[in-house]
Amino acid sequence: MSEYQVLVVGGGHAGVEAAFAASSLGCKTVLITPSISKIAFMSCNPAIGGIAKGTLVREIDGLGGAAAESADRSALQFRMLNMKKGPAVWGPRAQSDVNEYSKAQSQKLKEARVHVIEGLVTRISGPTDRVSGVTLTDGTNISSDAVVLAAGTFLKGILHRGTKSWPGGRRGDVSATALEQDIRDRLFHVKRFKTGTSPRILRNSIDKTALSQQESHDLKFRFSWASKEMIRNREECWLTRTTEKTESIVKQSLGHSPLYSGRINGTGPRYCPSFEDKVTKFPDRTGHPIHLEPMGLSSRVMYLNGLSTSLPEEIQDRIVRSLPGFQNAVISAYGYSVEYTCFETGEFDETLKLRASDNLFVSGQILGTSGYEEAAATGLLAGANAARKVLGRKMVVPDRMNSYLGVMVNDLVMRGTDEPYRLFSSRSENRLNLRQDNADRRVYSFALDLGTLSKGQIADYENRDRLYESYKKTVENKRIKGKSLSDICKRPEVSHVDIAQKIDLDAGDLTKMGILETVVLDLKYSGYVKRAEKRYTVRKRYGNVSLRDIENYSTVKTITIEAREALNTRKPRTLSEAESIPAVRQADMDALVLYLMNRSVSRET
Amino acid sequence: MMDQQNDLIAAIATPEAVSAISVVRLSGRGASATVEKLMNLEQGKLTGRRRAVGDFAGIDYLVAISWPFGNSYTGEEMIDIMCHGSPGTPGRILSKLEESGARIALPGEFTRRAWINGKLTSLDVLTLSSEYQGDNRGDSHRDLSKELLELTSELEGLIEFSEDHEVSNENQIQVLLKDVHVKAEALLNKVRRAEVLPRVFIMGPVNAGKSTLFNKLYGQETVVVSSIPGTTRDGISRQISIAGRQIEISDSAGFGGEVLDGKALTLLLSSIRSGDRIVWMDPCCEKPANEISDLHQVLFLKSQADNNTNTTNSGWLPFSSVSGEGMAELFQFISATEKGSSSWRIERIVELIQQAITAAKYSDIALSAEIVGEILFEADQSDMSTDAVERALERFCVGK
Repeated sequence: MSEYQVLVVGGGHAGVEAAFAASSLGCKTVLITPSISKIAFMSCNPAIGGIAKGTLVREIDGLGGAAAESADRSALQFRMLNMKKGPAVWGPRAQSDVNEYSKAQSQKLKEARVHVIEGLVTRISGPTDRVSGVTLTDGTNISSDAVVLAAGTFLKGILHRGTKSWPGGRRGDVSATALEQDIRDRLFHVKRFKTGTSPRILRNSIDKTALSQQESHDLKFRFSWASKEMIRNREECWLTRTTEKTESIVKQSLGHSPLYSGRINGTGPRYCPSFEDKVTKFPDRTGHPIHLEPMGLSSRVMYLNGLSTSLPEEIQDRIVRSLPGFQNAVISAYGYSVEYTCFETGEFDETLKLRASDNLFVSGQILGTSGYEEAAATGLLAGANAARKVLGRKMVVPDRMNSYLGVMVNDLVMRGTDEPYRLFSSRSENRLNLRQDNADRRVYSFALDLGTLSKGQIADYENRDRLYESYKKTVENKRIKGKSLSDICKRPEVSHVDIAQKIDLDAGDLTKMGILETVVLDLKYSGYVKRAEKRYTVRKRYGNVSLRDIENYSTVKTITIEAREALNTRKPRTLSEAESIPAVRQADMDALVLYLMNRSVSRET
Repeated sequence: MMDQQNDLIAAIATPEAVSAISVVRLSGRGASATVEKLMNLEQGKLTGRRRAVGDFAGIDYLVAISWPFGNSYTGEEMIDIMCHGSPGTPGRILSKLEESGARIALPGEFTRRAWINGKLTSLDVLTLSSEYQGDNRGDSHRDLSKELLELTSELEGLIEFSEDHEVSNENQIQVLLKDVHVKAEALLNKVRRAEVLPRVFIMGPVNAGKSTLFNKLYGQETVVVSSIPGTTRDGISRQISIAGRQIEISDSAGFGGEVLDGKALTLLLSSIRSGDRIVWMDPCCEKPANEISDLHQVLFLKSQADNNTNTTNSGWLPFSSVSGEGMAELFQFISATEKGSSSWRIERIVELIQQAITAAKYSDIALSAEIVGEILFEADQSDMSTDAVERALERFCVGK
């Protein structure tokens, strides 16, 4: 008998959700972290949400995860990004108090009876195909029926600033060098990615009169249906812009940047670039926006969003002081980059289990993702599937047409990523349906498959669903001056607020208004969503023809060598998945179809 | 004949008139070698993007331009022979080429090859067909697709990055959308002009009620689009619009109504193309010649059903232009003709762009982007009616 059923390595955003999910399935769960004081710590910007990411946080809520409620509890300010781009791409984003968020997530673990142990994992025990637990630095063995790795940037993490580099998972933390070696010794294919963070500034060293205040949105928003209160705006954010002087300092100093001097070999995120990247890629542009965000309520420290850099300290000082209002700014912690090991595409499947193992799972940045929200969502899936495996239940996979979680997991496994993967709304084929308002409705049936929802959560959902159905019926049946209300909904200028008046719904009841909003948007977009789903099926013309029983593609003689290698590593489940692998060309697809047809004929005779 | 896709074809590509210069076009496997031999050139002198000046088999002193495989109009090895336009010269050159193994091209066969080899899209062919006297490839379907892709990247940039990087703005989107709208409408007009529409022939013996029906359709439920004389010999033909699509109604009085004689039947059958349909009217329910009854797209009407109470005959629909009996079924039959496929599809594209503009106006960029995605999908559908293209190609001249 093992001491635990599920063991999670790492206490960041992925690890916490993994442990929380495993525990909600009833598994005896333990989480091991090198620093117990930094549970779910926001190592980079003090905010949660954004375009697609905020929608993902609401999916986590619909799947019974912890992040959404903690985000509400620790929020300092709320903004709905993309307000003028359409409800489908609205991106809820909350400025967070870093310590409050960490405390809220620790509290969640406590409530879920997850054991939290402080220690550094040095290796995984047992053979890879069936691991049996882990060993810590002091030699302690902890046994478990399944293990979820959520090591973030800690696997042989190396921090860089200027010409200096030193081992560490992030500023002030150790690097998990031994565990990384164990993973390499187990012959997993790994790659090196890098990411970076901005300098932190002392709040009272900035002249705010030179900055513009970032408007907050008074929208009565909450990420979680379980939160009793809406997010309150408790703090202020500020906006400044880089000057020509800023850009010229950076351009002259590129030789000192570990990114450009060749010291970092890892691949960085294209869409969350370092300031060095921005200046190099857009040399003609000046006045890059820089957001100034508090690390916490009344915190002495502010985060400089948009100025991620790993230039030497003295250059960072000069860069910061070139910003309007920052002439006397004092940096309390310098920016740096971190280079870390993560798993190659092809090593894990869509349940987030490593293919080479029966009970070893992966989540978060070691999958190649970037971002707290992406980490948390994959953590939830890996933790729940690990628990399901232990309990002898079927593991489950989210559908990319129903959730951003599904989009992300499918992309990571089937398409792979050559840089830290960040969610974008445009990664989905069904964007008009993957909205933040209907996240719980989209993921509900998958949540039931996962088994993560409590009885209370199911009852709450069913209440909301009843309201949804009743409003939908009202809207469909009611006629105003001979026109049906559902046709009126489809007019571009009509919003749920107008409809609420027509059906006498109390605009002050935020839950009811939220549900009506979903009814109205579903009606507005239903035609487009149906066609998008149809297009997706047409594109997926190979449908769900299973490739499961092709053990080795070397038996398929007529495909190219590249295609064969790619198919052998990725092991697509269906022909349509095979088609989405770049190395597999149309001719290879034709050859595969022929191969399958011939085989089925020879089987029949 | 058509199944040999890359055999050597040749044709005079300029009008038969006295002119300074004429062009004889040659395309297919062996085009270069054939002309090299006839002009006494070294092997390879006219292979790839080359030009040669010299004597052509003692007929004329001329210029031959060679286009490389994959990069010519047809996508094949292709040579344009520019000779003097004196009477007989291009003809003698063509005969010489024929002697050397080339086949005289069918009308539109060069364009057909360009289409098959992916050098032109179906819509390009239709666009060309509407202006086929020029070689203008102006507002082609490809340009529209390119523009749509550009629009997509602007839209996505605005959605994903404008909050932190300020890459696009709404005004830019409006300008691009309107530009695409103008382009699509121009394309629609060209394709509409080019399309040869499926027709419905109304036929049957004398006094079967054809004219009554024709007048009823012509006069009331329909919109006259154009009148094309002579399409069905002595009959009258009208383009009308029924149930949202354009079709051609032919009152085939010219067939005399009696049992069709051999010649008339051959003429009729040769004028019926795929997609066309026949309405055969006869109050006595006598089946016409097998050649007609065996066609799948025939609706048999037992006409004058209002004053003709004989028992019903299986396979014959009781019909009366007076009482309206059977009219619904007739309309259904007519509606089931192939939609004026390509123009119908571009009509849809134009309508969608209009929707995208409206969505952007109401600050729903995500919806605009969705609609543009839908348009791209519509525009890229490769199964665009090949019938329509084949029909358009028939109207091309030889040498095009």
